[in-house]
Amino acid sequence: MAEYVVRRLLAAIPVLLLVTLISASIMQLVPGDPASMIAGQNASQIEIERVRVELGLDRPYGERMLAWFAGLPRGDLGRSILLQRSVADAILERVPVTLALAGFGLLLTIAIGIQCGIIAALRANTWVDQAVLVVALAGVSIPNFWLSLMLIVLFGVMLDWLPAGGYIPFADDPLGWARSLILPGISLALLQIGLLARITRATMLEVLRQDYIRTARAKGLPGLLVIGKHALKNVMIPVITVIGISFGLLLSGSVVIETVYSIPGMGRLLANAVFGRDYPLIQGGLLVTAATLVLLNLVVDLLYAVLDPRVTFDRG
Amino acid sequence: MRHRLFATGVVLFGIVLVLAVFADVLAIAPPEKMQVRFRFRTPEWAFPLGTDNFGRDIWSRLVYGARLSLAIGFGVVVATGIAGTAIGLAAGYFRRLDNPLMRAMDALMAFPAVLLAIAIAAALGPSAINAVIALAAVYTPRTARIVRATVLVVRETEYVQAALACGARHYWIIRHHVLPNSLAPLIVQLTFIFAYAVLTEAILSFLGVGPPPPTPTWGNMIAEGKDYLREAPLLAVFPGIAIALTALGLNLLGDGLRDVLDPRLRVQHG
Amino acid sequence: MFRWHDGIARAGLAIVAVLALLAAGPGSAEPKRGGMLVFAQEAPPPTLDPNFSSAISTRNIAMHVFETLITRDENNDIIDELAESHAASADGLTYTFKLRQGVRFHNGKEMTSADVKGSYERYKRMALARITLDAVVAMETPDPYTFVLKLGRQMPVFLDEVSAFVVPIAILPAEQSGREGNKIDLIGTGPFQFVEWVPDSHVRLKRFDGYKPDTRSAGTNGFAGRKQVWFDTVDFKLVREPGARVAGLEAGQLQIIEDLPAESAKRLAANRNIVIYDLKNFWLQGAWVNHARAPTTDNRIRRALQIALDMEEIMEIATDGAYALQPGLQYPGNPYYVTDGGQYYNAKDVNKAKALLKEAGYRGEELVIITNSSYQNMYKAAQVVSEQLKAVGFKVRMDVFDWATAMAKRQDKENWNLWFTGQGTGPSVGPYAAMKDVVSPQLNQFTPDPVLDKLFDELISGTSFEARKAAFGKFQARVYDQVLFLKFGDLTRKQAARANVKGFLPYRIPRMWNVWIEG
Repeated sequence: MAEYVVRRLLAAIPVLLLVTLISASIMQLVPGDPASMIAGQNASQIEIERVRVELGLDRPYGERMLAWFAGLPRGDLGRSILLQRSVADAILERVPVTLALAGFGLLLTIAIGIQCGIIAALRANTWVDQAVLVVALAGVSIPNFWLSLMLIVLFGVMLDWLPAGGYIPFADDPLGWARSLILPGISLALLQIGLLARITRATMLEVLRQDYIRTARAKGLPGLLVIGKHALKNVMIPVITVIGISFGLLLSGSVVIETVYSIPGMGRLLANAVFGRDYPLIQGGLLVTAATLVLLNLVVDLLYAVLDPRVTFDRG
Repeated sequence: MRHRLFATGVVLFGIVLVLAVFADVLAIAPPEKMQVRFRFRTPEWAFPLGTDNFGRDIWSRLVYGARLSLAIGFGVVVATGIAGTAIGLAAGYFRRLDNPLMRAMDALMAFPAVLLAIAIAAALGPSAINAVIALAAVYTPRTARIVRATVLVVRETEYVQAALACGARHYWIIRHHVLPNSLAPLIVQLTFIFAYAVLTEAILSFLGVGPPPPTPTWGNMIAEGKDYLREAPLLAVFPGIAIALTALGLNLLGDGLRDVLDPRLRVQHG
Repeated sequence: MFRWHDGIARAGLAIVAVLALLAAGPGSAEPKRGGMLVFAQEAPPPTLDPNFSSAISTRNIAMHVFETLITRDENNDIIDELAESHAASADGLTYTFKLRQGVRFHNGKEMTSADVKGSYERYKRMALARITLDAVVAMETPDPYTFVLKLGRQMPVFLDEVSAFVVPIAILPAEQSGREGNKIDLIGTGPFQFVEWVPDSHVRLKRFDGYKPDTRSAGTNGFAGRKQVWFDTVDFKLVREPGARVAGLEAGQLQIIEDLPAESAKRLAANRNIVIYDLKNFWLQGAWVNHARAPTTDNRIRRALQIALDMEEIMEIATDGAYALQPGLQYPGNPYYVTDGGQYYNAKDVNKAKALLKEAGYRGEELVIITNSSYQNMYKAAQVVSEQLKAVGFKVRMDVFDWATAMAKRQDKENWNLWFTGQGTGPSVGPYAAMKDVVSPQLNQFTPDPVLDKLFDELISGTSFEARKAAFGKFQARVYDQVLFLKFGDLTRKQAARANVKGFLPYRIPRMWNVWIEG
């Protein structure tokens, strides 16, 4: 298995390099540069050029890219142009925030998604099942940025139950932290809840059709015990797949959610980097995000092996 | 029961399609016509869904928005279908191309989808066609993977092996064996991509990198309405509902198609 | 030219007046030391180096940490800040600044002429507006409290420029003189000192206890005056969404917010816990006109689009009613305010415009409008202008970019005909900064105009105020005659504060000194 892990990690390197190259090339095609952001709204062309020279943005693109790549082996992701700190520091500051948000979203997803899926499967083809299915589909269909706006207006402004935006660090105020994550967490989780509920339902149905479950049920074992002991374990495999996918989606979704809720996490960091043309930050941030996704997929695959001994790693 | 949901999907999508096709007839005013005296009207006879901050008729903008949303979604489906099939076929069928092509697809999929779309849309400039290109770039890898997986299965079947042994040409095998087998999962996948595309296009417009005004897009309408959420919430409410119903219709449609076309896929997609 | 919807604005002003009375008059509660204030700003500071940016978001913060030799007072006149006095020689080539004594930097060192010299040297080397010091040929420090600037040529408006706060000449410790842009330690002489900057979240400042207040004024006076800090800390919190700023203010999490949406202001006018402040004349809303790309190469076509516009409709929609209409490129009340060229402003003459188009032989060449999605009022103004121009027969294409792209597109004359903007601080500090963009070297219209260049030269080298003002009148007339800038109107920006915030006086840049929270 160790060999498999090493092989997977090695295979990831070209992918990550491609990611960086693609992001760098796309950003070069995007007109504008950070100098115009720094100089200010009414700055003249000459003034912007001043800033450009001062920041070294007048140096050829290839030269800047080479310098950036040269730092990579040392773990140096360069220096953010707009944030006055190293890219690595800027990312490290944001990661806990996004992890908190994504973790909260995941918690909701698992808690609600699996429940709904199991209930729907046990009551397959009844109105309960149908209701769950429609709600799950609605979750996949409602644009989450729009839902966020609606939640903010309703709960943040009109009812004034929860903060309308912003993020409170856990260390400052644990309760405030939790409250500040509720609305964004729900907005982020809705899509995943829909996905997970549907896959749980489908898997459960297959499992319930298996002989040993039928036998157990026929022997009069209480339904809950059967589900708990036998069915759930089998459900875990596809569920972990979906959670793996979900986490990737959560990272992507956080771009929009963090922007709408003013949460200083990775998603907003990257979105602002794109709009501010903060090249080193974009490249470094996307590299880290991509690496996270690659690792996540690996962990998911390893979990399969733990849960299902039949899975081996013979094939690359 | 499932048929009922499928039927609901057909009806929902059908309604949006009718709105889009007959937008010229259904709109009661040109969607960009501004009337400064009639700003922020609540729904009334002359303005069925009210007016926005420019004094434009929301209903008329909504139906023209449907046209654009569906056009972009359809564009993405076509582009993704062609590019994804081509790449998936090439990767699955020609072993030497497999690794480079699929690594490139992995790299594209390793981007947060929204960011990739924003960056491409910003690089190309704001327009409907560029939005299609940006979204197609985001969704092509998924399609390519599905086609490749089918190809891998099909090419190992006995009849294809036999055909190859008899000296059949690659084109003929792809045409007669590989493509027909890939079609069902592809259609299902493309229906879902249609829904994603409608949703993601709205995000692009919302963030200001979608088709520029005066083109009424649902995302633009929400973006313009978000500054008046408290004072005139309807500006953002209606286009949001329109997006949700369109995506819901497509998702129901996709579910139904999957049941009909390819029952095996049910588990994989939930 | 105030309008019916300015009722709220007037109510706001009345409240300000009452507040000022309360703050100054007998019987008002005594200011209380301590506590914390949160100010919500709409944009993140791209840098906190005050010499490196003209962004408002930078100055919002930097003006609390740094001070300048001379600046502008409440009425925009020149006032000494770190300078004890300033004087110009009779030949206009030598400027002598006497420095205040006992002023300390946040690192504890006393400010001397060496620091001033170092700061001016840095400014002349790298600052965004280093052109301000172009005429300076020598800087001398005869003693620790005297600083002398020698000019190579006469520049009658030199002090106006040096005191302008578009890119303030902040005084830093001498050892930072060699630092590159964006790479300074944030150490100044201001009443607040820098604590932390968490990008995308907030910048925190705290009271500088070693601050020596300037006792020459009784209280707040522009960026100068007597500054007393009551708060322990002030947070400049980034809250981009206008709705979130309003919600935070209503909930009491934010004490002062900038850029309150006009629609929200109408609703909040009845809220007793909130006071709304109007910043009239925040910027000139308008668009640059490119003279080097068809169809706006022909002045008849430019005139047609100029006189076709209905400014009331544009400003009403762009600002939701927070505006005033007047043709000047300075604000009413500014010393240089003139109305020359006003006959072409807000003419709404659709028929004449159509006739001009016909006369010029306009054959539907595409008129390209560039606006941006980063500033909502520019985005909205462009949409209205586009519809109005279509109505007289123009074929219009509108390109909407984010700010960075829009700036990049402006450089190429092939990209656009109208480029939407708001001219903010420039016009407020004087006529030169306002209109330097239509003369060389910036030349937004791409085609040099010798007449304009000559008038601009008269404007900055005129030896008397009257001569300069006369030159500006002709300059503005020329801008209108040749259609270099389409001015729509003056935007009123709104700030709002909780009612228990006392001593806050609205200004172009918020000032957190002499402000306290009651109760």
